[in-house]
Amino acid sequence: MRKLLLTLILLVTLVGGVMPAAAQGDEFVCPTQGGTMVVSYGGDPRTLSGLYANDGNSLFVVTFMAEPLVLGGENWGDAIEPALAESWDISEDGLEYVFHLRQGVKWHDGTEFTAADVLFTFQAVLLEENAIDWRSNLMQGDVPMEFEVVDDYTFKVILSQPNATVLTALSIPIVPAHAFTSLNMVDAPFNTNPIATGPFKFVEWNTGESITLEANPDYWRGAPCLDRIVVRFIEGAANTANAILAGEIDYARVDGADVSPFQDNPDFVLQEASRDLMRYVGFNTRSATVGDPAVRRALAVGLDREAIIQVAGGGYGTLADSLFNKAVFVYEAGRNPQYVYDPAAAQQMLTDAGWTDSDGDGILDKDGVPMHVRIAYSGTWSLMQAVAPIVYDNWRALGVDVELAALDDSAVYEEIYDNVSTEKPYDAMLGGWGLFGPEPDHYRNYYANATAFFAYDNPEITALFEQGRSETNPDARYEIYKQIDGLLWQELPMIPIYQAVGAWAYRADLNIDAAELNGTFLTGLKYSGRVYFEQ
Amino acid sequence: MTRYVIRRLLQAIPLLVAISIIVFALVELAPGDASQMYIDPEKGTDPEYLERVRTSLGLDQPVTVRYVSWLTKTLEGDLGFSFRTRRPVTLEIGDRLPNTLLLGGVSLMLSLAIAIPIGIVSALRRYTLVDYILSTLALVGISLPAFWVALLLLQVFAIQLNWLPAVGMHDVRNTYEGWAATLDVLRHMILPATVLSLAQTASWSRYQRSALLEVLGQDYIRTARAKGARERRVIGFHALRNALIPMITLIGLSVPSIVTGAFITETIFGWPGMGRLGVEAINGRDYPIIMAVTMLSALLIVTGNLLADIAYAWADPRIRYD
Repeated sequence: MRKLLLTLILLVTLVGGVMPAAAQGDEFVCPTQGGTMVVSYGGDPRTLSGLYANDGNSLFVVTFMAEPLVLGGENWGDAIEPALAESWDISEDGLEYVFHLRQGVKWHDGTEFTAADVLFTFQAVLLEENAIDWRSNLMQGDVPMEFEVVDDYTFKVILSQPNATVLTALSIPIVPAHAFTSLNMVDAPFNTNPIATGPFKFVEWNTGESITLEANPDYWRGAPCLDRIVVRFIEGAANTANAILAGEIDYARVDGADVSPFQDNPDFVLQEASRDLMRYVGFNTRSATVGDPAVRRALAVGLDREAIIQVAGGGYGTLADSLFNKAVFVYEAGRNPQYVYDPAAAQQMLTDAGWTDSDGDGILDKDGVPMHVRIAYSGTWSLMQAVAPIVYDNWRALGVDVELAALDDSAVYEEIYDNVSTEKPYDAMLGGWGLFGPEPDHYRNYYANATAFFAYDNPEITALFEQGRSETNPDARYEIYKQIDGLLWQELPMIPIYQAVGAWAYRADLNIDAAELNGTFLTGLKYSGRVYFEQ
Repeated sequence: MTRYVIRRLLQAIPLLVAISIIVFALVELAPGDASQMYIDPEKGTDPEYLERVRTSLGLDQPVTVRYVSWLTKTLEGDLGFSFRTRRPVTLEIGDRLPNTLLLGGVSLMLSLAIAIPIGIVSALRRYTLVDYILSTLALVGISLPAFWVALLLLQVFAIQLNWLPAVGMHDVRNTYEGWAATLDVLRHMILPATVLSLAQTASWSRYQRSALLEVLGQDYIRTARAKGARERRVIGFHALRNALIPMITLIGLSVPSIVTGAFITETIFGWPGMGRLGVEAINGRDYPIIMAVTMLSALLIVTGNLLADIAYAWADPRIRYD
């Protein structure tokens, strides 16, 4: 009897001792351990610091190593989820956010992660000399958010006005305070020799060739299954696909190359996932010709967007039905009635809007003004070079006098990116954007801003965006953005063409199921620690 | 001779300054600037952030101020920082230079080793079937674009046959020591070195052929034959030695390209050399790197020419500089 009791106690302690560990490190157990996965991306990163990584080459590598408090910000996926912060409380008035940090998380050099690191990171971001892109995230107009270290594992953010976007705004990779000598980090050695908390740690950088990362055995989600990840720099999708076929790369994105060698091939898997990138035709909503929403709707109906996907996008796209990207939490497929391509209907809509060819010159006109549409786009971006002629053909067939302005790099900046005037030198422009994550407030910069690309500032929509930003009740917030989504779809300051789809090819014995292929991450992997080789 | 060398070196100074001004002006005139590297064209960015980046890179200064500061710093031996990576230019170039020297040097040796015998055989067997075949092959070699040959070799040897690696300089799955490591680099070098040397071999063999033919028509060859020298000695001693002199110029002129790298070939084979660095720098408007690579190349052309001229005087007693 006593023996039985003892066994029972032993069992309970054993189970009790094991259980919390298993729960803490998430449920996933690696089926196999070890191996090196070779992946590839364009070229040398500009930086390895999460705070400066803003270009694809840098972000790709950083995503394997660094982590923010919360997932779901720009470049960090499509859902708000705890990462370095385990949970958070929001005060009644919505002005105080208290983050409970994960305990026992170690930096790659073994030092413990604490709230001091979070404070240091945000202070560095706010320092203007550092020229960090995230700075605007932490500003409320001209005033920065206030930060407070409550204790080692509690961090408080104090706002001057309610702001429902705080979680995504704070989704910034945290850097370790002890790795820097001062807040000024423009030229910090850290930028080429980073220390982070993520599943893989930096080992070596052979400039021009590769970067080697090693598993972080102390990773809080559990030790990664792979021993190492090597990021090899290969320029161009065709060269990348060749390297996979030659067996030198195990996993990479290959859309843009000929993917047929991977199809029906037992040695490889080809898998597609939606990317958080939109291609669009934007309008200058103050233009004399396309300033009328009815005209813009007609042009949308008169645009063969499927053809653009097939011809320009190589089939890698899904027809858009919202001015928000799919990753935005309010997006719901099929809620907005699609603008189906129908040239005859488009012609009728233009006639109804008052545009007819009254002088018989083949060009529509209204009150003596011919319908001239100047489309500005980057002549050096090959995708846009392919989109432009289709738009031209479609709209020219309706009787629109389309002028294609393929601009060189400096002109693109002057006319589009750097242009903060409300007077735009174009009637329409071609562009693409994305990796904004689930937060719709980000789009306010474009849809409620008279100085942005579309010179669009509709008082009703702008007011709704303001409301949405300060509304902290999730259901009420959803309703506000749903309303904005419907209004924008009617107003069409831009015609969303398609949302990009990525195609990833990888070795058949590589298993990425548990790692979750997710195109809203640049690496395509949500949990890179869970990639493993099948035996 | 010493006076000649000194004079040439002094002449090079205004030349190099002029080149630096022209390159600086060209980069300035080219559209866009380095701040563009700080945004992803797929994502776009806000103008305020771009302004901060420009200020932090010093791009808000007028062009004359930037040039003078570049010149003085360069004379002090400080080549500055890469705008793209913010690493010192000397470090960026130092990382790539050995790789390019290795690839360029090996392909140069390969070219010489093949081109000279081919040229000799063609010249000696002029207007025979052998000459026609070699000439046709040379024509093909000169005409084939390097990128096409590169892709063809990749397809056949790396993808279909899987004999040779397709990209990079090292095997990233295994780490090798000693001889195995050398062998690993050699295996990676075979395809790019072949591509690089192909066009060079083809054109050099033509040079060698015509140089030897010209020499063979000279009076001293007739004299050598007349005095009864055996044909082997006539060709090997009298003709060949003189026919090799023009090759000195060719090698002298190709030195800069060995050092500054092959843009296309290095990009296709992912070779971590100067060529790829140059391409990335140009795409990213990385002035400090562009300036350093261009000046290096200008310096090498000047010294390459000078060395070729000196070597000429040494190889050909008829040439004297005063």
